[in-house]
Amino acid sequence: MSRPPANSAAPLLEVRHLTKRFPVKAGFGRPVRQVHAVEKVSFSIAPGEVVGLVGESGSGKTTVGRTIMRLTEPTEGQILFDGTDIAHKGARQMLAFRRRIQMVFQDPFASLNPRARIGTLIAEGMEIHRVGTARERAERVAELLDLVGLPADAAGRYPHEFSGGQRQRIGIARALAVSPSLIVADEPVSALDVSVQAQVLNLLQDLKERLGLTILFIAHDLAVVEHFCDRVIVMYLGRIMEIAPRRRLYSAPQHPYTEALLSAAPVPDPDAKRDRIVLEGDVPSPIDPPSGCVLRTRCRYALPECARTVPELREVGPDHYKACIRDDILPEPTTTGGKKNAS
Amino acid sequence: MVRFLSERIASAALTVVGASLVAFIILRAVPTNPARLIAGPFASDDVIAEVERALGLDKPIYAQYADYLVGFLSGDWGFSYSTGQPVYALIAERFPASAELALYAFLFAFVGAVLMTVLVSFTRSRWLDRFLRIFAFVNIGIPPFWVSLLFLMLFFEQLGWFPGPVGRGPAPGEAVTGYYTLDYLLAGDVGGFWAALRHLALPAFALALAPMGFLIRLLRANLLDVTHEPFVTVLHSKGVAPLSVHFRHILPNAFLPTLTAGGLILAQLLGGSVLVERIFVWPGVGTLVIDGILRQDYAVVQAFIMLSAFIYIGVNLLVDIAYGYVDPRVRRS
Amino acid sequence: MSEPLLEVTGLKTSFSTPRGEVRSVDDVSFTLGAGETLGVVGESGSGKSVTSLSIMRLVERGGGRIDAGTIRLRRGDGSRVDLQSLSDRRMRAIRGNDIAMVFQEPMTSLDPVWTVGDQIGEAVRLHQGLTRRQARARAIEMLRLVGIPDPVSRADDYPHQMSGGMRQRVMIAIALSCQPALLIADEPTTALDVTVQAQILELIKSLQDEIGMSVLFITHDLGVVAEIADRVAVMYAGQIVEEAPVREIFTRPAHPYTLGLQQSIPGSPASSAANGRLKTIGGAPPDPLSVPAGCRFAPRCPLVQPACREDEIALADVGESHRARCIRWREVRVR
Repeated sequence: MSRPPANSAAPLLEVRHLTKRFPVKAGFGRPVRQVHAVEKVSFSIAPGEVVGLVGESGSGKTTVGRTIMRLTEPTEGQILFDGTDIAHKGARQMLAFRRRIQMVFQDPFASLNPRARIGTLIAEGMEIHRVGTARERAERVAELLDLVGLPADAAGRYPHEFSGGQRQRIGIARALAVSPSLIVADEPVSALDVSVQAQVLNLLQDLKERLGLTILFIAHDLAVVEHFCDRVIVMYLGRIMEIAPRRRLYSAPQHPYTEALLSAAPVPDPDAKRDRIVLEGDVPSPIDPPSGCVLRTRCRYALPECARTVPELREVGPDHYKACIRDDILPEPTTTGGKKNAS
Repeated sequence: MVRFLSERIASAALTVVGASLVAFIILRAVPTNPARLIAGPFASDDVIAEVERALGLDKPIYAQYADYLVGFLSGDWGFSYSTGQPVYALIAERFPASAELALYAFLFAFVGAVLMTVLVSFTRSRWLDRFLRIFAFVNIGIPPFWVSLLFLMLFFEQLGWFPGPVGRGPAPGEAVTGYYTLDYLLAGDVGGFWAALRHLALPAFALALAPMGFLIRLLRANLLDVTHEPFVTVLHSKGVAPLSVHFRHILPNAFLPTLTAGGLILAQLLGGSVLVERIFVWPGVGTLVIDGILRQDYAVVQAFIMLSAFIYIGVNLLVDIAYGYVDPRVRRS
Repeated sequence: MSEPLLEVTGLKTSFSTPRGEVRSVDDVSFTLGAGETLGVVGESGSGKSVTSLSIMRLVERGGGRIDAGTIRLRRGDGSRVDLQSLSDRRMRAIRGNDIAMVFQEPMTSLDPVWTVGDQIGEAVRLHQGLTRRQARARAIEMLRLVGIPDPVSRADDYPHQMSGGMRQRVMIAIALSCQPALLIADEPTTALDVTVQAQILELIKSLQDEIGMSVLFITHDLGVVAEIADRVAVMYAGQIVEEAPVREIFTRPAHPYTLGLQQSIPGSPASSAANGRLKTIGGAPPDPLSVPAGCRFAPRCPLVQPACREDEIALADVGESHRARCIRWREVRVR
């Protein structure tokens, strides 16, 4: 692959050949084995873009997010943020970048002090990065609470007083406090009930439009990603299978895995046609992934050739990339643009 | 399984080396010169140098360590300066007394804790549960020597049910194992076995109480945790009777994590107990070691540290192997 | 429809919490016909899982209590029993035999120190008096039925040697081992990945055809319900607010909550994602310790009027086998 797939504008984030392998505990005389969590992942995000990163458990999507945040150290590869490689920066040099990349977690309070007030929690990032005076920070907290649709008196209250949806709003306010350029959102709505999930998605939509946020949106729910993202990256077993603009991906997936994933998702419509492609069996172990294409053990289109060559991510249309050697299996997108497959 | 075992044994060997190194260095760091201790306060420097040479104390420290380790493994544990006897013989003579006491104490602690906890948890009686928690709490808090004195006052002086502080009682005619109860049984002497057991009872119970309290707490917490596991609800949804759920499913799961604690308790008990041995005039290693420390008889103390390390490691190895057999998650992973 | 297999009437279940008494299920009634699948949908705290545990009489273990109601089951011999009035012993003979259950968490629903074969065999030995050898044969047969490859050697596996999807298959094998007339599936695919969820849903559907059992399928996912259910009951704050055949629920919802739920889901036909926004239901479900008087949905309802807040609203017929707990049901419109 000569160049990593990129959008037209100069990317805010560019990930090149990112690889993360975790060593597995081994005993005496046993070769050290590795979990191939992320293998040679390359993609980029343009300023103002919302990119979805979807995959099932074990796909490596969360590891990609954590590695970009440097919560996990990459094994190989580059993470170019605004042109600077932050993959191997030391803690002190990293500090300046940490302010510019913020994360929203699935459960924002799982790792936070339950005895700290909401105002303190939101202002924490500003204090770490020495943003403004104490008074300015308090004003900013009030402004942020208003922005995420919480009452101003929330600042003086404690996490346990808030419902799941409200907590996620606080988590978003916390991330926005230091005016980051990039937000990595790891399953931000998947723990929420549907009615609350819709509220938080609408909030994110508002914020994206008002603040021009750039977001890497990690999720397993395909419908949520379709609703919210401009472009979608599909991962399986540590590798990228397909990258495409949302409409193209959902209307005319070019990779067999994307096709199966889309057909497996239940649609809330009893009249929807269900010619489901069921992937047989389980996801193989990431310690010993299949040779060649990692999907081949479950792929109904697999050829003997698939076991021999690792398929490169290659361009198959405008901004559309896939890692599959076959071009004769799935219909090309129609020129008139995508129809939503769900409706 | 073979690989699992060889791994555990290899890591145990490494630990022994580490422990021996620590024992060796700590005792070498003591300012007293053993050569002076042996030769006496009025010996000339020449005499002391000669003693040092005889003991190998003039060699570089790593060579001393190597000598020591090789010696230890071949049964040469040095000489006691105070008695002039080989340390190995001294300990070998007294170890079975301590070990027998420890094994019975362990048996009482483990069986008692399991029986009480399981029965109380099965009755689901709040009153009994509260009693059990207080019992465990008190057990952990009471020092064994105090219990020993209490037992003696009550069961020997007042009630006369058990023999007083006279040690292990009459020795069996033929010492095959050094364990009196076992030797009597081997000789087919039930009366002797009974007598030996009666001598063991009070000190063993005194030693058992604290570990019993600890095990009760641990087992009780485990039982409570497992009872709330989703698989227990599944079992009830299958129509399995409560008795069966409790004894065939919850108990084995709750029991597994106590193996580790059991191993540690056993190892600790095997190291002997100075105060309880003193009170019951028990001829065990605890007394020997205290004397060794007081007389700066460092070969005895060093041998004891090494022996304790071996016991700890040996027991833990046994625990690991036991896990390999009883816990499928360890067995196959 | 012929005589129903299960008939739940006026079920009320409550839990004692440190903050007070919580009525988790309040006056729930429904029927389930032979071979039918009823989907019970609701968000967290709606009482859908407590309903299923009440039918199994397993709420006491979690500190709950059934206060009122009858749960009538038609048994294989045609006799009808009220599960509420059975002795513990007779209830145990029904659990796992007439009614079986599959739970949400495949990773923790199996005993880690028993082989899966023994765990499947346990139920058949108990209910059908099979010998150890016969039970093992049945276990292998069940593993084959639920699509586990190489069932003979897999029967000797322990749960930790299996993936989540495989364990859920084992759970289904356990549940179906005694050929129950009713399977209660409580969020059986929620913890699974979407492709594995698809496998499990297909499996439940095909086994239902094969065995002819009824299924009570509890889920929060309207997509799953659309796929598997014949009829749907929507629960909110401990009550059924609407019940109808599946197509009716999606095309002609008669309760504002049902409609609101559908509109909240990205990509559903009802969701009107105008300028990228979803229609949402404002606010949050009521605190279970202080449910509002009158309609429990009133504080969040776009159609609310004063009458809604006065008296308890009854679950009333609004069409052919269609019931809704709303006085303005005629005004609920998909668009």
